[in-house]
Amino acid sequence: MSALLDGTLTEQAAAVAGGDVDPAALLEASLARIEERNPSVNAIVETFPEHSRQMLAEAPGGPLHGVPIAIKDEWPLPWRAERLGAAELPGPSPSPGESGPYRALRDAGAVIVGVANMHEYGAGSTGHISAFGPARNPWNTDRCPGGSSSGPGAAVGARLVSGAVGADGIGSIRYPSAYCGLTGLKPTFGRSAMQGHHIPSTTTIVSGPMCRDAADCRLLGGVLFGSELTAGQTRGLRIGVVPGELWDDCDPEVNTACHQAVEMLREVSQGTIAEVDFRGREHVLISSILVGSTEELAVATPKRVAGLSDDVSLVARALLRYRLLLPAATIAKSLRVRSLVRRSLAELFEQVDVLAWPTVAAPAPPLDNPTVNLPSGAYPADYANPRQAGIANLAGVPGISVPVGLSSDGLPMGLQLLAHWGRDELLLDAAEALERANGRQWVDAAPPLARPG
Amino acid sequence: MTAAPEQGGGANAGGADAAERFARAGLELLDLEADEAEIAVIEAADRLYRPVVEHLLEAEFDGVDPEPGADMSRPPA
Repeated sequence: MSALLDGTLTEQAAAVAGGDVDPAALLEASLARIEERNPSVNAIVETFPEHSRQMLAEAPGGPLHGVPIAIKDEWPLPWRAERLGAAELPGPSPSPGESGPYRALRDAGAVIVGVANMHEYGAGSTGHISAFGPARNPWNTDRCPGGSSSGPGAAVGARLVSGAVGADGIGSIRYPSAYCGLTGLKPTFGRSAMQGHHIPSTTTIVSGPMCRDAADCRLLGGVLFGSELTAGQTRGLRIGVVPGELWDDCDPEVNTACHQAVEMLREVSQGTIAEVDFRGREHVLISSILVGSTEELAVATPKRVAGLSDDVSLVARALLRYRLLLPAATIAKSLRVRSLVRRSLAELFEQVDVLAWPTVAAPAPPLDNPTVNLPSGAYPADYANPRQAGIANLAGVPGISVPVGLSSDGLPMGLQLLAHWGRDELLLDAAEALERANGRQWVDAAPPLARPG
Repeated sequence: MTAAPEQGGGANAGGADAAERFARAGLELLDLEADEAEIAVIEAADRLYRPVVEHLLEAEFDGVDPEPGADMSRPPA
């Protein structure tokens, strides 16, 4: 059973469907794995064996029948309200319920085996702050797992589960995927299940799959999309690379690994690489942060913010106040940047099929000092990361992070690919092509704590 | 804004006095109390982000038409 727990989501689903494994035994083994290994990574903040067994007992046939899945602490379940990794919320108290991702998993026959940790309020790219304590990177437990989907990243990386549902509002699926060596898909806005989210009017946040490889993202993503994500081909793939800070202001090892991966992708697809650019690039960092982090302010009031106790982190209490001080003109300007970027990307995707640059500018920083050293200086990771990933949320386009190597410190590095609205499948095709080209070297790499024996 | 800037680093181009004035005056305007530790974090965030915020505020988007009611799942019409 241990080998199957170490396997991919696709392998687990096939084993159950083929009668090679009793799903009840798989569930119990999964719970035991979490109990044994989770203390090292703090990825899963709550299990509920009776509810999981009930889900399995009532599970319909489906593409994930009997397969254990974790879900980020960002959606309600019928037996548990979301907590957003926080001790208290600045808005109304959430209630248990049937969220869109829950229904999608249930109807696919999946078994939710645990709720996964997240950066407090989803307001960070590192995962180093949570009311449950920080999740830890399986590759080095002194390092950040990435956020805000820190728990899903750490859980899949540590082989607690083979698939998890994350959420991405300013890169929150892609950062932990890059930091933990996973494949993570940020879907086109609106394609994946989102009902029941605490920001119902969001224009940036999507649910998405975080898995070992692209095939697993195709499987879990199809469940969240409610439609199969069919495989295509990548022959003649037109790859666009953007000059400037998205590549140049990255850790040299990240830069090299991503350049090699892009060249490998070009070669395997018999495609082309072209240097391209888009308008508004200089404002993407701040605009994606401003648009993404102010959507929740509709429920925040000075009184509610002032009423948060010390159980909420100092950083969150301070930054909630800071957001209330931002001039309205910054939001209006950010929305213009959004229009500019969307129009420019629409034109650009007539010239290229995918855009490529590093998902994060440097490997996972230390939990006790989440700062990254880049050619232009030292920055909080939370400042540097949205520059790389925020554009997908600002524009609504799909993005994927694929593992492309390990740094000299043994930390994963990720390449990000973006595509035209609705071409999520192409990103999965490209990721699979890259896996074939590198012999699955990086998607099959396991962190030391998850290696058999 | 996202999580705490714990050091100014390469982006720290703002003035500490300006950040402190901004934080204290803004909080007073909202009648929102903050302790010294919270104000210190707000100041640090403001020092970090102020250069890009000011750059954004100075930008002219005269030729960029807004997308009222834009559908983010599709390219612009």
